[in-house]
Amino acid sequence: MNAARPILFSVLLLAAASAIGCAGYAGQVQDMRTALFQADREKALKEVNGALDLGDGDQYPLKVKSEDTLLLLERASVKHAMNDFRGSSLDYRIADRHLELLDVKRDPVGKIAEWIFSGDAGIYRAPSHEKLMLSTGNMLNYLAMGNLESARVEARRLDLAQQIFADEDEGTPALLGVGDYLSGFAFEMSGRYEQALQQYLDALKDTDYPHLKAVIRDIAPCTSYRTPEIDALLADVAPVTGAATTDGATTADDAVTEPLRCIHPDRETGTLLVVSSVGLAPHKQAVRLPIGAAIVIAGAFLAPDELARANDFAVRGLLKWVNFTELAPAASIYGGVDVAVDGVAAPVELGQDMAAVVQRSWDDVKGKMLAAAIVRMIARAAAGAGTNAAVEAATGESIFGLLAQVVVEGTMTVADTPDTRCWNTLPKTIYITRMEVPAGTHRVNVRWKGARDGGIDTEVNVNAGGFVVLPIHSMR
Amino acid sequence: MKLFSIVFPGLLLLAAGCGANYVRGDEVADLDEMAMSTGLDKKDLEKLYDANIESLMASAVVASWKALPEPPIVSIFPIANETSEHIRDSLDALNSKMETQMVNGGVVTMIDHSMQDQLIAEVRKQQGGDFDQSKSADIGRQLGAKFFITGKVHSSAETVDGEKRVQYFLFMKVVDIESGAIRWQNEANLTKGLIR
Repeated sequence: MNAARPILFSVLLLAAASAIGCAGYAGQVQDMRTALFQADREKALKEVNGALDLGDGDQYPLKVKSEDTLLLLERASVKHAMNDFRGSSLDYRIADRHLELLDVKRDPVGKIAEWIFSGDAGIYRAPSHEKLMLSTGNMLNYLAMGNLESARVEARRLDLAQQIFADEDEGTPALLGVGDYLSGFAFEMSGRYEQALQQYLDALKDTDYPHLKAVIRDIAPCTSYRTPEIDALLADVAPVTGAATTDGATTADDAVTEPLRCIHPDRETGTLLVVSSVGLAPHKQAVRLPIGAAIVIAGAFLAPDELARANDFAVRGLLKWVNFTELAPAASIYGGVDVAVDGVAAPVELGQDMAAVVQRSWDDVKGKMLAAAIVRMIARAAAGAGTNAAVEAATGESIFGLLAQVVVEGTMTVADTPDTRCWNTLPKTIYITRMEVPAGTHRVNVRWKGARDGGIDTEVNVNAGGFVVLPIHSMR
Repeated sequence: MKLFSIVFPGLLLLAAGCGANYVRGDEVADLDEMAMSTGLDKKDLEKLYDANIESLMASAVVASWKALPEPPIVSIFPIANETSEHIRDSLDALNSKMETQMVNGGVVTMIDHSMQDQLIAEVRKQQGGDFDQSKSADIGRQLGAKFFITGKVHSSAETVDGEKRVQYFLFMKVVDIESGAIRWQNEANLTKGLIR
């Protein structure tokens, strides 16, 4: 018994330490999500500031810890939706400096197993789409503020990130249509048509933008830059649609005849770009997978000896389930968006299906991450079996050994809270509406589909030869 | 076993972390020497400033200014940021440093910023939010300036295995508004990095 006492004491202390429990990141931001779905953005901002341990939306952590980077992204999204574009841009810039990137493809399973579970020591590693959306979101901030220089800086940062991801993935392009679309817009409004065309073509590689093809056709004469894709579009595309006239008589199908800025600097129209979104993208939630199902999903990523051990432990009942994460479905109470300018329906095209992007990104890494989780659980089960043997040998009683094993396994399993960290406030679906409008004030009406009275009515003032970018997000 | 019963529980104690503190520059030696980002800090600005002002003050155009009975009227325009870093504030600080040196040295008469900014804002408004540097001459002429100083900074950024390097290339020039001729031009380079 004397020999068993320190072992049991330590085991019980572990149990006590772990009994505090940890809801994980998903639990930390649940109140923020709830507030957003109740359309209470002030409360959502308050909740995320609480999670950051700050009293004020304009404060920043003295030392940015791992989760703080993610919480700053959440706060940036909420501020952006509240039209605090400057505050949002500062949050994005600070988060960007601290963001570590996920590199599952090159990390071996053993290394992933070291950081896969959350805890104070675990640095948050962001998947590529979150890095790309960070630059995209901040670009939208600067465009909304009319700051083209800073928008171009973010466009270059987006391009840089895409190049890095492509290089790491053996040349597979890292595309984000809406990001490239906004980059192209920033360069186009800056009069840099060659760069605009390059970005617009990249956008078309990811998402089909019918109206963007018409824009490409219209600005192509502003530069001598040509590619086979541009030549094909010039031969094929219909004129720009969606122009409104001062008497509001034009329908969405009428062609614009106002010449573009690059050819006629004294044009009397400006560009209106409405970027709207509904819902929130899928987020991670903790699940317990039966070991059998887990091995089926992740078996291909386990080394033969690890696979054999996992099967052996499963058969002996030492390993029954795996703590892991899964994506909860994207949530939205709306089915889409309708936009009207001066009472006339405006063309709305899909900007980005972020739910699909998030799902694809998760599916790409899920197998390897689950393999790492299994490796980790094998270590736990081995520790439990070892404790059982040690206590049984020390006490001569198998019941104590079994009790210790259960406590060790249970405690370590509780401590292995699955990593539910991800950017919760990414939108589910993004839409784009682009129109050439006469210079002056215009009423813009955005209605969420499926809502009885949900929507935004606002006025914008567009200068001749200028532009206005109007972000409007439901976040529910 | 005895050691185990003491050490192991001890390992479970949470260590008190050392918190971060605000400090003043004169309280910490070499605080200004440390690089804390890949943006441009005070030390970087001083390096870029020194490289440019040295070249400018030794140039033929400044020699010609000094020979004039009255200092010429000069406008200094925002340096265009063509990089992938948000360094607008740093570039404006660099411009202010050059302006201060030239005004206090009696080399030029500088156009008042409020008048210049008003015109720049008007051009931005007309151009939908961006300041086209090709309009600098027009604005300078409207303000009665004979020369304007401007510049552009580009960058080449690369990231490998979590390490990052940003190389900055700053080009500055003096343009004769009347003739459009470039009377002085200089290139200054700087590299910042994040290494692990």
